[in-house]
Amino acid sequence: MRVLVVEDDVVVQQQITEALTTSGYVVDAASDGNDAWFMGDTEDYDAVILDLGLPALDGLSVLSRWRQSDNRMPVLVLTARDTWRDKVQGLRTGADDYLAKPFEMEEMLARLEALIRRSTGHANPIVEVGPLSLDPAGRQININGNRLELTTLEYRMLAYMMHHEGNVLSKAVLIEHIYDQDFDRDSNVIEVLVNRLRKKVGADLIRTHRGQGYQLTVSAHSGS
Amino acid sequence: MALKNSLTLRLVVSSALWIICTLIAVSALLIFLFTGHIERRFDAQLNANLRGLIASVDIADSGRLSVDGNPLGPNFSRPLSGWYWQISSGDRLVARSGSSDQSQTAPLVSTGRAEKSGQRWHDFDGPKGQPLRAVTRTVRLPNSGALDFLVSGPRDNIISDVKQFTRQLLTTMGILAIGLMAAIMLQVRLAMRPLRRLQRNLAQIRGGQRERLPNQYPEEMMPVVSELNELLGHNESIIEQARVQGANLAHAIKNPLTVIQNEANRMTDTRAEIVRDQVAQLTQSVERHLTRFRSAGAGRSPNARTVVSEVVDDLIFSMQMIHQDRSLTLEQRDVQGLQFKGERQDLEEMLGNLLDNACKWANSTVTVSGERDGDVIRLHVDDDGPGIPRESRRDVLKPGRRLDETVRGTGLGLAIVQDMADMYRGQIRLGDGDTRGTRATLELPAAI
Repeated sequence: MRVLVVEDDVVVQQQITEALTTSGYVVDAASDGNDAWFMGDTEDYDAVILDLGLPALDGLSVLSRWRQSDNRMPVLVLTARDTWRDKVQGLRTGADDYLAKPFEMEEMLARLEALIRRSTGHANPIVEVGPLSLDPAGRQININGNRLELTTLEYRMLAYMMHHEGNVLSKAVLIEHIYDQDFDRDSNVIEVLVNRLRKKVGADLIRTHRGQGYQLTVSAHSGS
Repeated sequence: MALKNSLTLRLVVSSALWIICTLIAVSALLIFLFTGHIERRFDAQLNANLRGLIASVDIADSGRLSVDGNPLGPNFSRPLSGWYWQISSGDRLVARSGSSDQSQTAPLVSTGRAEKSGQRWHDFDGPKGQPLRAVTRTVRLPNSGALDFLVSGPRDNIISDVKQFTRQLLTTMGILAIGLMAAIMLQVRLAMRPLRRLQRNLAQIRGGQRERLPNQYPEEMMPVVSELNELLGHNESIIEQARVQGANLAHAIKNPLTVIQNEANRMTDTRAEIVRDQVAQLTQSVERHLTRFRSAGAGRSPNARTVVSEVVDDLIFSMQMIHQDRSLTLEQRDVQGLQFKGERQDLEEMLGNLLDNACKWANSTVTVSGERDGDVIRLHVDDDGPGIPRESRRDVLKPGRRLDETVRGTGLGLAIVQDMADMYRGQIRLGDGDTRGTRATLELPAAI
């Protein structure tokens, strides 16, 4: 999961980034409105955490520009302006949820998780694919109720694939959503990761579509 | 109505005093002039009579004096008419008019020595105490020496003429005074009309039907009107500034609070708990005071009016977003047409907190309904949750009080609602819902 954090307060930004990284997210950070607008429109994020009080271009304007260019990524608005006036404005502009400062990291993570889950079409709070279930709170994935031991990269990849169950995901997309920006995208790490995951969850859950990418699907499991 | 407190009374009384003084002075002058005129005419008549009397005297060669019939007309033959003539020589009466008191033997006026020539004027009381005015003249005739001629007339004539004139004059002046006073009252009323209109317009502004005073006032009042409009604008900008500064302060305080809280959460030291507690307390008091700060102008901004249904629409939309996972049904009933006399953001804050609470506790449905009762509107927020025990209802309105620590929130919501409702002289009540759950009722001033 790739998340954009837009926050002008350096320390708060650091804390959020740390918490997200610990929970298995890939994080990009922006400190002003113009950067945020550009990054949000050019990169493919699974969610955005957006502070409203930003220099250069305020958060609401950034949000409304994204929505005007039909960018539907889920946005969690984070702000010191804690009146219902601000909340209504934010939500009407196109925010998906609202969190007032000061906030608990756990709550932010839970809300972010819920946003991503809903944006990928899961109504149920717990994402399940076949024997796999994603525990949003604990950064862990269970198989038949038992905890899977996963590295950070393995977790990121499997969680992303679970959210996009049934979709064929290209290497480029997977790299974008599980690696930091400066990663060398030509390497074959994805194949290595897929092989490691197949060993842990069973080979038939992850199908390879040659030349297109990989697909996490239960029907492949039952069909073959 | 004390004199110094009423412009109308002041104008009317001062002009009444002025009119009465002027009319009295004019009347006095007229009476004085008229009296002089009447006296001169009376004197002229006496004089003419005196000349007529002298001319009618005939003296025979024997020295015997005879008066030709009744030379001065019928007044002088009517007994005791006050119109008398007499001719005397020293103390001896020579002849007199038929009107004279025949029992009297002495001359009416002792003319004394007649060394002076020309007329002499006498005012005295005649027979029966009648005040008389007389003119005398001493004439030396060739055969009979010096004779004193006298003609008198009753001074009552002058007095009654003056009296009659005075009566008529006072009646006229009275009518004039009444007419002038009526004109002044009418003028004052007309002049005061813009003042009354100003008062009506100001009341409209206070009632929220108007934003500014209109410009159609008399020229003399325009400086006041434009100053009042400036004042209204100044008020609004002060309120706006307060809100902006509140937002800035919120931003300045809450970022460091976020950092401190998160650092404390990561500390393993037991003292971290103290830090977290303090952060929570600080957050609460900042929140509470910011709300008050932001609403400092509540109820004081005269132009504020808010359409309730717009706020309800916005809030229901927001609640559906925020509480998406709870799949609640949010309904609104009978809020169309209601208008709140106050700032939109304040209503949003109050109703938002109530709705947010209801959404946290409801099982499936939250309903907003409203009604107007005279000059207040009542907004009800009903949920079908577990309800609040009767004995805890008072407590939940206190700041920092949360009945259930597992549901997120600062525990400030209802206390803020209470604070804001107080500022609008409204109130918040918690009771049982229609069938089950809780009904929160917000009573606020209506914009008419």
